[in-house]
Amino acid sequence: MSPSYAHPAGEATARRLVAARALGGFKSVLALAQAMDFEGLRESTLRRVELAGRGLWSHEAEVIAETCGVPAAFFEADFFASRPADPVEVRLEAVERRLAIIERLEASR
Amino acid sequence: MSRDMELQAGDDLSRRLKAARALADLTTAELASLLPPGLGVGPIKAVEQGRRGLSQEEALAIEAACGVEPGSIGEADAEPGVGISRHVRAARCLGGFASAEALAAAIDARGLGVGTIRAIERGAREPSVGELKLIAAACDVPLAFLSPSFFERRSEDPDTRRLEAKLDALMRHLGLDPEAFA
Repeated sequence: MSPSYAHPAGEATARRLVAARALGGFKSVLALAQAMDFEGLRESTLRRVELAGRGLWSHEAEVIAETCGVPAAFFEADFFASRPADPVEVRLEAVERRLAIIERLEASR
Repeated sequence: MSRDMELQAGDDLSRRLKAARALADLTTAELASLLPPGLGVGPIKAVEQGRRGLSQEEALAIEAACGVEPGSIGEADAEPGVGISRHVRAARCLGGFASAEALAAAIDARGLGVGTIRAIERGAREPSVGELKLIAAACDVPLAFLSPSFFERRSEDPDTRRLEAKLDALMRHLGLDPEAFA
């Protein structure tokens, strides 16, 4: 039976790892492994995760997230859905709506 | 006449080439055998020893031979993926697109081809909001994810405040009540 990883082996975890690596600016799993210098998360392990052949334990995801400069929650499946809106984003969306109103108004004149 | 070496000889280039070769698990001889004539064992060793630079064309050939991402060797100075470009690359990964070509094919929009996407990912091109929307939709991530400040929690932003003030003034000028549309 496969271990009960916090982030199970599969495409979703693989994609999050590759994305976290991209956000951290690590061009290869080797570079990330070297930056982490974390026993148990060597290059070959990271490669297996990226190939969807291994999952991640929560402490491993935390180390990766910290090294890549993303929140540990980035590895959660519902990260985007559960993320509270940034107040500035909300305000910018309001600005966009108001600009659309002005554009419609101008177009009708 | 000396060749046009766009990537200067030095420790940085040496390190990137060594890292790419290590990633591909290739010896210099094995790498040379995959490269065009002119990039033999000698030149590769010279680059790794910091004595020779590379043209962009040569860097691309080595990147392809090592199976590393385009730009791994050739994007020396611009720390690749900085700012929006890192987020665009990450979005592509989250969307399951292994390459800029795959993303471009999925988007299939005029003006947002593989060249544009690559330039954005290299940080060589500032994407428009429209382009970011297309990328976000194709990758199934929120548009906000493509912002470099996505992971920051901002409570105040002077630029936004200035923008809101200008917009309020414009709405009043047009006879609209800003509060009614807040």
